[in-house]
Amino acid sequence: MSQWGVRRFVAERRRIAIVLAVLLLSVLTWWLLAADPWPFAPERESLAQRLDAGKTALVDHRQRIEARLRLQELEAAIADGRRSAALRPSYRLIEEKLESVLAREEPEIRAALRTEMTELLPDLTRNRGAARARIERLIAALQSSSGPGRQGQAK
Amino acid sequence: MSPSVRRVILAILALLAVCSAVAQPLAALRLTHLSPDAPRMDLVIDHRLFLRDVAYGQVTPYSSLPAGQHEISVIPHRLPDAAAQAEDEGPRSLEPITILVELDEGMYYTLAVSGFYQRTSGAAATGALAIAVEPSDATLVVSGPRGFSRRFEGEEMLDGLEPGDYRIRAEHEGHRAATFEISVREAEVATVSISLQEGEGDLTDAGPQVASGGAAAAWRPVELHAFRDDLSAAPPPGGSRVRLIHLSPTTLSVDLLAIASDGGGEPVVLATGLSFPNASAYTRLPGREFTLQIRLAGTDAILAQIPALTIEAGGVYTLFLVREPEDNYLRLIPAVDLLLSVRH
Repeated sequence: MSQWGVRRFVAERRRIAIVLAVLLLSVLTWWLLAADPWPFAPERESLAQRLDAGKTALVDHRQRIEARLRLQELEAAIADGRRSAALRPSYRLIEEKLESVLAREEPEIRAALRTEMTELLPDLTRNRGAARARIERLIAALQSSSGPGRQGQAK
Repeated sequence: MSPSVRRVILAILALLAVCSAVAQPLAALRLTHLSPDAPRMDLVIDHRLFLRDVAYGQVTPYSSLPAGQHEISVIPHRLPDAAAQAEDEGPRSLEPITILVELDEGMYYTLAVSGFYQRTSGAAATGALAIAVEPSDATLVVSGPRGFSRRFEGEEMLDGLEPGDYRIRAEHEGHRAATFEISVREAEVATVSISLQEGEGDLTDAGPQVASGGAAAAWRPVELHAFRDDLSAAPPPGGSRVRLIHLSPTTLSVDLLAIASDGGGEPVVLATGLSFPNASAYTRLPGREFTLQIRLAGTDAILAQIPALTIEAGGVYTLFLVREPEDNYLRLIPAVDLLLSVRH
């Protein structure tokens, strides 16, 4: 390779290196600007944990509200005298929602609410009065606990 | 241009494409399955599976996807081979339902599956009659073609009726009895609202008040509808925002009222004259317990109600109106659209 050729080769390499460096810096700047939470904030770990805890508490609270609304709707359907077969799909959906809510409850409360829910299904057929009483207890349990800030998850 | 420079330019372009893809505008979408007799559904967007195995009555949480136009389909949930073999009929015979939807950046959408999977035998050849009466415990006697006769008290929805002329007689103690006729047509729901006048004997000169004679379809196939959810405005302090989506094709236009369970305050009208398949605007409600009443539009006839529904402050809610064909029951299904993190 001639001297001129070597110079050209070095100059081109330098140009490529500069372009790559600029590119790298741009990507890094973009990532830093987009980063949420800000990675250099004090107590980064605890901030992320607090955000996660807040989100989880809110999702849990939402599930509780939806389960309670569905229970109130189920109670209205019982009052209207709907056949138990027609009530079963509603029961299944409430059961699913309640399961996700119960995972965060104390073991004793969890066991008690599970029993209420399990017993509710046969009561829809054999004893409407008992079914309504169980629904009332489940609604009261869902209303009395939870809510972001109430149980302390979102401190 | 040397090959290495070309390579660098290509690398820059590729990186820019990746960056723009990462930063592309998003919208949010959820699915609710409100076709009572249809199988579980999968949601496919632009030929990719987006949500799977959504059952009747379920309202999924919102999921984000790029804003812009999308081809959205619902198909019966794909069953595992063994389960599919066990199924004699049903899920596989429903054709995919596809719509094109333009999703705006930062907006929330609800996709709703409505209608009926199985055509009730003879549904198209019959009609229905919805009767509302005041006083609400008045006795009604309906007679019609081929010796049809039914006697009951209060509001009633009679379906599977043979088309023809029907005679309705309404009686109530302390009120003047009234008799009149109405035609029931094929694949329609005829609606009558009767208001009896106080007095004795039969009504002769002044007839009963017939408020409406509307008609709705008696059957409609499974359909997919898209609604834009206005979640831009936060609920007011101590209050909530509530709306109604009418997804019952066999129900006429309705009003939705919220009456405070403790009797305090005036009833709040959440929807007026809302027909299928439409959504009302969100209306502010204070956080408390309400009796929600679905009434036949413009009348006092209650079609469905939830006597005690606690609307919690800080939430945005949607109520879905659905009729279940098995026992012709009109349901209000509540769902949470948005919840503010309110400290109590």
